[in-house]
Amino acid sequence: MMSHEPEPSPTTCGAPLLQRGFDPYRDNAGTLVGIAGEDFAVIGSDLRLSLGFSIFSRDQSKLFKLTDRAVLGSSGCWADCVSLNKFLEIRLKTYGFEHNQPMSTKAIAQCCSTMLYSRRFFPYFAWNILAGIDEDGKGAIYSYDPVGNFERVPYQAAGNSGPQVLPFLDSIVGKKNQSNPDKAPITKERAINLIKDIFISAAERDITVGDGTHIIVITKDGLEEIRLDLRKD
Amino acid sequence: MALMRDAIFHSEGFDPSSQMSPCAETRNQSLVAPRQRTQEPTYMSGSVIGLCYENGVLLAADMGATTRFTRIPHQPRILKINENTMIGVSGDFADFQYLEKIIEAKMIDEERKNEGFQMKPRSLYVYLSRLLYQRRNNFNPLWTNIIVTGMQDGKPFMGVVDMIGTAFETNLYSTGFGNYLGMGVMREAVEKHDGKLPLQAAVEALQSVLRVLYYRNTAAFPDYQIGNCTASGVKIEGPMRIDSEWEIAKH
Amino acid sequence: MSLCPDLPRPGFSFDNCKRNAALESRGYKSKGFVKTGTTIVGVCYKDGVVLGADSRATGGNIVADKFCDKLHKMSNKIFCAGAGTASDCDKVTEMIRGQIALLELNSGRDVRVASVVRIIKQYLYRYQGHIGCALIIGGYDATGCHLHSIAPHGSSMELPYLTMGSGSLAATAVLESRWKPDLDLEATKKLVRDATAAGILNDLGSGSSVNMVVLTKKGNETFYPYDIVCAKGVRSGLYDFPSGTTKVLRTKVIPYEIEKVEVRGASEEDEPMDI
Repeated sequence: MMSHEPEPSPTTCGAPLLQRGFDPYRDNAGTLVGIAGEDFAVIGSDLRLSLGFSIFSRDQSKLFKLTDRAVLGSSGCWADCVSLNKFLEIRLKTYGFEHNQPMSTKAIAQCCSTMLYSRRFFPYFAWNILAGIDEDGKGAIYSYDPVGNFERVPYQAAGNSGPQVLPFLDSIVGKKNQSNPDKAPITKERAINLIKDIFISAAERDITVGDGTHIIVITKDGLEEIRLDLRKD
Repeated sequence: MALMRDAIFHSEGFDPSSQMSPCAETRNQSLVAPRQRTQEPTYMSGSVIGLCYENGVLLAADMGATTRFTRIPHQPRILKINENTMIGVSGDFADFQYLEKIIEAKMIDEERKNEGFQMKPRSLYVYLSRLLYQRRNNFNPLWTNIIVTGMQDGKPFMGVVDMIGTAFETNLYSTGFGNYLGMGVMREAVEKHDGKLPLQAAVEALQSVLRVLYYRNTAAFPDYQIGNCTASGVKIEGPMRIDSEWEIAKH
Repeated sequence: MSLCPDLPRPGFSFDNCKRNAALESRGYKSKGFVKTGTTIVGVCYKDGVVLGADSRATGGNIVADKFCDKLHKMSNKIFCAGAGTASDCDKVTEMIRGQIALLELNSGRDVRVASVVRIIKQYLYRYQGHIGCALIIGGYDATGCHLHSIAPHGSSMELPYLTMGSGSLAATAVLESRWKPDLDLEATKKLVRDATAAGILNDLGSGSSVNMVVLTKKGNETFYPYDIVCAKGVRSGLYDFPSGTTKVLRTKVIPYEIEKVEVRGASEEDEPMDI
């Protein structure tokens, strides 16, 4: 048989390299869905915090209210999600003191990216979606990867069920690959009901989605919160 | 563009294995290896169980610590911090004792300032979550899972912090093996009383979890403590002994 | 014909394990398989045995089947609940069922639970845990009611109440606090339901509904499902597409010549076709 053993490294003095027990990352799952409209943005998360096959909490929203016109959804390694949002909160507070006004959604989007990239080589294991209203009063969704690549998109799904949900959004909201689709912009009610239905469906097929969903609607008048129960198994 | 997962797993950044020396016996190794850190627990303690009830919050834990081969009984693991806060710690016992010292120093510091108010449970919970997260970032974790409980502005509070800094607030939780065994029992008890669990039912639920843990966990001890935090203060009772039934085992 | 079929002589060949490890070390990813993160429960009572199982099959984080059957019939009075790799459980029980049927035909008697357990554990032991079946076997035979569990490596035990699978710890907590010797049928069914439901609610690998089978000297009585613990969510929207959504890129008509035409008169009893 061919040998694939690594060369003994100088630090081990020839002793075999042992695998150590500490892993700094945990996947606490979580699913996020965001849809931007003409003058609103909707973002939803599930309420289940889990690790492996066990449920940590049945009531843990993954949405963080940053300002009264921007909400960040974070899922993945919950320790990183919480920390990222704590640091972000500090940045936003400092900005508020220095500029005597809250940070705009566009600026928050860039700030998130910078903070994520600051940990490029020990990343925040967090999938983020930022939802908010921009300076022109239009709905905005920003989609991130864990190391800070970001893009403004009309809708996005991330987290554990992201890969299942995104094609559905492409079809229903994006109207991709359809001849003569109805291109009218999505209404607020339709977007809310869509996100509710998405979580109901995701709970059917994804074991990490369940217990409930927390939806925040962002309009120029502020934030409106909606909660919905999901199946608990 | 390499997105998402690739970015994490193909990063050339911090390689923890390069920071650690795998075997301590070799004499000249300590010269080569930069740092030696506690990335493995030694004396471990078992589950801590917490449950919020109608007008307070309970914390229970068996008393003792184990390695794979040895057991040290009668080790209390529930700490009273002040009149409205208590914590329960499971995991590495040395790290627990270190935490105990840190928190004590913090309390003395607060007392010395004499500003007329006490630390609230949520403050301690956030403080511990930051501490553990920072230690995790330095690849020098405190190998502990902590449940912080108490009365936060007159309401029962429970916050959970684990060894990598995962932090969340909940109404019931169990660390360790009890996470698999006991959470169902506690959830059933809470649902049965529609969220308004009376003290007696809460204590019974905790005792039932402790009993099952004693039956099924090789590292569990029969002696336990229960801490109760209400508006009138923290009271830690124990040691008490689990009333176990071994006749069934004969069937 | 021998009563017991001969087992192939040498044990399991591990050649492919080495090959697979070598392939994986060079970056080949082996195909995933469906693992039933499962809760299965078995409880003896004074007249027989009750087996229960949840009905979720998972592949990674995805629910592969919401109503799968984890209770396998081995003989009229013996059932086997399976946890672990779904196909292993299905195939092992299917194969052993064949052997047992032959054994019963050859001997002219009902097979005993102990025989079933022995055949399965010897089979599993030869594969040293590579066949991922964790089984609970319960049944009624000439010597009374029995409940055994078999781990994938082939070890087995006989106990008055048992659980296996990823939800076994949650279920154990219920059984340990509520099981008593000589329960009656209704109490046992309730206990099995509650233990399985604890697994369904607290373990992500288990879900949907509780299936149950009661085995007594009269035979078996199955409940599919006994209780739906978590029902399907109800969506408010309709997500169908208007006709013409798919773009017609090209049309080509191929005339189809019909030699004989027979038209059946439509009667009122004909139901409209399901669309």
